[in-house]
Amino acid sequence: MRELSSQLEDFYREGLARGMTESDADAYARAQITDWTQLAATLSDVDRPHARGHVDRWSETLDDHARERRGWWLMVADRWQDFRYASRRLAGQPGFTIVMVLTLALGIGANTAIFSIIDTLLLESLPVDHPRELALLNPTGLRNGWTTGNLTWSYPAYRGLRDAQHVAAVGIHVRQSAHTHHRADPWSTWRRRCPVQRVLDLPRQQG
Amino acid sequence: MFSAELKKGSSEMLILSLLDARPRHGYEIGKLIEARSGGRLTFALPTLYPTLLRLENRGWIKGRWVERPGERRRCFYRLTPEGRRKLAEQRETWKAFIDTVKAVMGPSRA
Repeated sequence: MRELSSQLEDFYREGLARGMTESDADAYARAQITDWTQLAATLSDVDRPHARGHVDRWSETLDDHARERRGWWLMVADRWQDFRYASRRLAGQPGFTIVMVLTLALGIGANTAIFSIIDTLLLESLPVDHPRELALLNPTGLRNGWTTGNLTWSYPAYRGLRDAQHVAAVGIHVRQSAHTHHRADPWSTWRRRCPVQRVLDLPRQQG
Repeated sequence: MFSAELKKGSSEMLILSLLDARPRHGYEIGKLIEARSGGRLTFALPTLYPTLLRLENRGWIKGRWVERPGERRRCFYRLTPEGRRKLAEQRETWKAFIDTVKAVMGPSRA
């Protein structure tokens, strides 16, 4: 309707430019549309496929704000208009839209799956020289202050293993919830001084 | 001068062709058609405005409110890429139609 009123105003200004009085120019503009009922019916038929109501009213409100405040508001209003235009175009071609969405979904899904595989196999490999020579030790002894099972080693057990003749290097993972009854708290000290990677790379004689 | 059917069949192509050069607003489009046709073609507002709306709904043109220095805010229409493609198609079709009509209505042969 704003566009229609804008064109009617153009005819009014044309009448004034031709030398008409204001009333004559007003009559000249009004004469451009003789049957408003027919025009409304025609516009209704033309505009039928599209959503009306609160979305259009909100868009007009946004346009009014943008016209008054300009700057960033104009950019927002223009982007919103572009979004609505794109939405109408996609809604008008449902087959193309479905194919496009499926294609994007398949592409994103395939890329995600491939990257996950690559990340697991290549990117997250252990930071050691010979990862194939690593062995995971799982203690199975009774609870006697040395071991507790479930891949958990006590510090004395670790120290004994570390000092064993046939072991090249030993590394352990320290959980955040690890506890120690040692007064000096060697766990915390060990964690600060000997990260897992460094332990695995150290020659045995250095302990 | 021309029948309503003739005008109706060419209105969309005429509007698209005028927008091919540069964006224009609705009032300018109507006046330009009248001027270039020497007054033989006129599109009243009740015809022009719904046609613009129809073209915009199809995505062949796109309207944008613009405020230029010294002028009030107006809705300028411009061709979209699909609109340009449709205009080229309609030009080809119209040219072929005119050539065909000319061939049919040409001088009679003995």
